[in-house]
Amino acid sequence: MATIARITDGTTTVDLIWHSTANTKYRLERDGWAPAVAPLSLSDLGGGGTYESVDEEIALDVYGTSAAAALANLDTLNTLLDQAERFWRLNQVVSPVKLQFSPNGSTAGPLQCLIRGRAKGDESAGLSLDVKALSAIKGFRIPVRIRLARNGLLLANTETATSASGSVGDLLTTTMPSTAAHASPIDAQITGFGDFDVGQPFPDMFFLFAPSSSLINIQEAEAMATGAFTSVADGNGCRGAAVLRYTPAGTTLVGSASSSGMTMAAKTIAFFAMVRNNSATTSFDINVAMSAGTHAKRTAPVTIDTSSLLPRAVALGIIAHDNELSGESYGLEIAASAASGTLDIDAIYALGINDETSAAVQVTGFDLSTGSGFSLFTDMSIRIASEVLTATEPSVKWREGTTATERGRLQYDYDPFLMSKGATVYCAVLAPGGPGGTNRWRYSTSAPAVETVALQVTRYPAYPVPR
Amino acid sequence: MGVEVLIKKSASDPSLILDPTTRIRDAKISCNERGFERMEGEIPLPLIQAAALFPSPGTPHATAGWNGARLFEGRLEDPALWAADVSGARFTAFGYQRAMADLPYTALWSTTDYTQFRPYTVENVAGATPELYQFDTNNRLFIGLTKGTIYGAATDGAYLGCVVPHLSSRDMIGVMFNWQTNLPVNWRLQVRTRAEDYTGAAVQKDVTPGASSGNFFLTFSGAKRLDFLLFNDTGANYTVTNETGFYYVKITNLRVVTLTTSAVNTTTTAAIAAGSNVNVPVVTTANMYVGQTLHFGIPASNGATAIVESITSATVFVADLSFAMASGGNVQAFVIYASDIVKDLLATVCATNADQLNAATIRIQSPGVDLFDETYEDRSMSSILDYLAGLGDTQSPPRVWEWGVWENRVLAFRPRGSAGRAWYINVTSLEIARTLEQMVNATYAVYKEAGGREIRTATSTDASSVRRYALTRRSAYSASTTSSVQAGVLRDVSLGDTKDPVPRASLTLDRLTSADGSIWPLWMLRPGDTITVRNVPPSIALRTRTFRVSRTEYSPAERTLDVELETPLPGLDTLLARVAAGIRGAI
Repeated sequence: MATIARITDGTTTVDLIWHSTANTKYRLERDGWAPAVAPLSLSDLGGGGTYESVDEEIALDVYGTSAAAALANLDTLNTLLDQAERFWRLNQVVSPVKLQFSPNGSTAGPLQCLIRGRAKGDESAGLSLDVKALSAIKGFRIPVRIRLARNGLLLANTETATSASGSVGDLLTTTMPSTAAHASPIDAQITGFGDFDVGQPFPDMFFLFAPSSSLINIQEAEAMATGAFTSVADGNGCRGAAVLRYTPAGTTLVGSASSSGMTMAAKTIAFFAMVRNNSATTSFDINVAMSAGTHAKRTAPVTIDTSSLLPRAVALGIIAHDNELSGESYGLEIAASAASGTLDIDAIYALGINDETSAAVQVTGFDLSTGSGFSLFTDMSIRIASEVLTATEPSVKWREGTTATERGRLQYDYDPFLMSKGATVYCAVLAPGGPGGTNRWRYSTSAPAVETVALQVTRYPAYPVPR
Repeated sequence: MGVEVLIKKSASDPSLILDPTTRIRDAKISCNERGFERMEGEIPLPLIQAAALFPSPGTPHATAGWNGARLFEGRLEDPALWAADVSGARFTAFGYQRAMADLPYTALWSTTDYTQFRPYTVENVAGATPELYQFDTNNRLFIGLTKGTIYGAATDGAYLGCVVPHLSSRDMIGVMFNWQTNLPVNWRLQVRTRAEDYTGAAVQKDVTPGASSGNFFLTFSGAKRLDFLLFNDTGANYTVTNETGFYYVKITNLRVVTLTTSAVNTTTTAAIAAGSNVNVPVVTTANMYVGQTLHFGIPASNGATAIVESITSATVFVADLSFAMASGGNVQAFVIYASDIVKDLLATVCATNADQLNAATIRIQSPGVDLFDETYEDRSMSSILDYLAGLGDTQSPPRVWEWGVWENRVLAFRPRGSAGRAWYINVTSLEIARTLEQMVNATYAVYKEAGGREIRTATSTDASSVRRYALTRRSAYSASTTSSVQAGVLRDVSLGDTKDPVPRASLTLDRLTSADGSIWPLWMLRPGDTITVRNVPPSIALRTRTFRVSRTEYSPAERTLDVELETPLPGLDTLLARVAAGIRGAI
C-alpha cells in the first residue's frame, strides 16, 4: 500500500501526500514528520484505554493554483484542526476529525485515530505559518507546521463477531475473526433482552468481560452448603434450581463450605455474586475468604442492607494472589445484624484480572414509570462502546430492534472502555428481574423463563506504531 | 480497565451528571480514620458543561471505582468554576463521614447528676412552696421539713425536679434510685413526670407512706420532666415541732435514662437466700457487668440493691445479698451503651438527610461499657463519635474504638483497627526515631463523685513497660463521669495506648504486598491498616517495625500513594509509595 497521510472529518479531507493528479494542494515535507509512538499510560485513570495520547509535529506545504487558492486550502486545513478541538475540548456538535495514516508497504490498511486538537502547551491554533510563508505565497506555496494531539493507538478496520445465544448468568463466548496483536478497543453489544415496557423496573446489572473462559469462574453457591448454610430449592430462575441460604443463629461471622478450585492465569481476582436479603430488618455483611496455602485472604465485607428483598448483583471485592491461581478455592463469610432472617446467594462469579482485557462494568438500573413519552420498546440490547472514533468518552446505551436504534444513554459505573486482545471475548451477565418479575434471579421473559442473550463484539485492532 | 471517576445526581439517584475520567487533572483521593475523606480535581470543560456540577436541587454524588471495588464515594460539596486561559470546574467531594457534621445534637441519655434537680416555685406549679422546706442537692437529693412551719393539707408541696435539655431529641423513660425517709405519718412522697411547661403531671410512683427505705426501678412513657413531690397528706394542717431536718426525704444512687433497650431486665429462676457471695440464678445475665448496681424486686412493691461481684455464666452471677428473694423476682438495672447513642445519631441523620447515610446498623458494635452521664447540648455528632470512640471497651486491656463511613455509606463503630488489614513491605528508604515524649506507663483517672468532688482511681501500671525503659512516667486521665467503673476503663484505655512509645517514621516503598508477597492495588491500603517493614532488623523494639496508617492520599494520574502514619515525623508528614512508571499498580 502506498503511503497515506490525511486529516479528515469524513466530509472534508486534507491529503498530506502529494500526488500529481489526485492531490496538488498539500505536500508533506521530506522528513517532515515521524509518527509518535504511544506509550503505556502512567495513569491509573480509565475511560481511554491503557495507552497515552501523543503529540505530533508535521511540517508541510500548502499549495494552490493561485495565491488565493493556496490561502483557501490553508483555511481548510486550519478549519479541520479548529473543528477537532471544538469536538474534543469544547464538546460541540461537530464531526470528529481523524488522522489517517499508512506507511508505504503497509498491509494493515489505513490506520486512524481521533485528533484532540492542538498539542499540549501549544499556544498557537495548532497550525503555524513558517516565517517564509508570506514570501513563499508568491509562488502559491505556504509552508506551515502543525502541532496536534491525537489518541495514542492507531486503529485498523473493525472486525465483528457474535456469540451463540446463552442464558443470562451463563458464559457467552465470542470468537473473533482474527487474533489482535495488541490490546484493542472494543464495542460490546449484548442483545436479546426482549421487550421492555413502561413501568418495568430495569435492574442494576454487572457485565464481566475476559479474554479466556478460565478468567470468569462461575460457582454455584448452593454447593457451598454446610451448617448454617443450606441448599434451598428456588423456582425463580436461579442457576442450578437452588440457592445457598444462610440462616444466622447469632451475629458472629460464619463461614460456608469451600468452592471448587479455580485455575486462572491471573493474580488479582474480583468477586461478584447474586444475593437476596429475605429480611426487612436484618442486614448482612458478606465477604470472600480465599485459601492461600496456610492462610486465608479476605475481601472487605460488603453490607447487604434491607433496602431491597429482591435478588441483586453485588461486587464482593478484590483479592490479590502471589501467583496465578492453580486450584485455589474460597468460601463465603457472613455476619448478620441479628439472629433472624435469611440471606440467599445464587451464584458467585470470580473475574481474573491480569490486564486491561478483563473488566467489570455496572449498568445502573432505572424505572420508566416516572417518565413520560415512553412506550413499549422491542428487542432491547445494551451497547458498551469505547467510542474510540466517535466521541470523547466511552458510553453505555440501550438500543431497540434489529436495526439497533439508539434509545439513549444508560447510567453506569466502573470503566466502560473495554479492550480485547487474542481470539476470544467472554462475557457473563449478572442481571436479575426482567418482564418475568422483579423476584427473578436472572433476567427473565414474561413467561417467565430465563432470557437468552448474545454478545456481539466489534473490535478496533490497534497498533501503537504504524503497521 | 482503569479507575473511573463519576459524578452522579445524588446517592439515591444514579443519573450521571458527568464522567470526567478522561479529562480530570490533579485528581487526589484521600481516606482518613473516619473513612473516605476527600476526592478533588480539576476538569477542563466549557463553562456551560461545568455548570452541571451545580445542580438544583441536590448535592451530587461522586465516586471512584475499579472493577467493582470502591476507591471513594462522597458528596460534591465545593464545585467551583473558572474561566481564564481555559475554562473548567474544580471539584471537591467529601466522604459521607461529613454527614455527621451536618446536624447538632441535643439529647439526654443518662444522668446521675443531682445538681440537675432544682425546687419548683409556685410560678411553675400551683401549690409549690419551696420556702417551707430545706433542699440539698449535694451528693444526694434531700428535702427536709422546717421547725415551726405549718404545712397545709395537700397544699404546701416540695417539688424537686429535673428537665431534659431544651429540644432534646429524647425524653426520660426510666429512673432508678435508693430512697430513705423519716416523715410524719401520712406524708406522701411521689415520683411524677410532666411536660416541659410543667403541665400534664402524672404520678409514676407513690413512694410513701409505707416503708422508710428501699430502691425503685421505674419505667414510664416519655417525659420532659421528672420530679419528686413531698406533701402533707394527713388531711389536716401539720405543724413541725422537731428541729429542722429531723423529718426528711433522701434520694441516692439516682440514675435517669432515656433508653431501656440495653437494660438488665430479668428474673431469678430459683429462690435465693441472704448471704455473702451468693450465686444468683437468673434467666440471663446479658448486659450485666462486675461492679454494676442491680435492683432486686424484694418486696415486689419496693426493692433493694446489690452489686455484681462476678458473672459465672450466662445465667448466674454472684453478689452479696442482705435479703432473701423467691424465684421469679425482678432483677433490673439501666444500661446505656455507646452503640445505643451511635445508632440514634445515625437514625437522626437518616431522618433529616435521607441520602447521606445507609440506615444499616450492622457495623455498629457495642463496647459493652455502661455510660452513666451522657448529656449533649448542641454538640457536633462527629465530636460525640470521637468522644465515644475514646471511651474504650470492656476488654482487658480496653481497646480504643473508631468510627467511619466507607462503602455504601455504612456507618461503622468498632474497635480501632479491627477491620484493618496487615501489609508486609520492603522499604527502599527508612527513617525511624523513638521518643519517650508521649510515653506514659502508669495512669490514674480523675472523676467526680455525685456531689461534684473530684476523686481519683488507683494507679494502673504497665510493669513490662516500666521494666523495659527503667522509667515510670505517670499521668492523670481526666474522666468526665461519676462512675468508678467507667473511670477505671478510661484509665486502662489511656494506659494501653501510651505504654509503648510510638515511633516516628518515614519510609518509601515500591509496592503494596500482603504477607505472602501478593501485590495489591496501591489504593487498597487504608487508614486502620498496619504495615510491617520486613527489611529492618527484628531486634528493634516493639512497634518500630509495624505502623498503623492514619491517612492515605492516592493520585490516580500519577499512580502514587502518600501515607501518613499514626505519628508522623514532624514536618515530614508523608511516606511516598510510588510504583515504577509503566507498571499498572492495580494489576
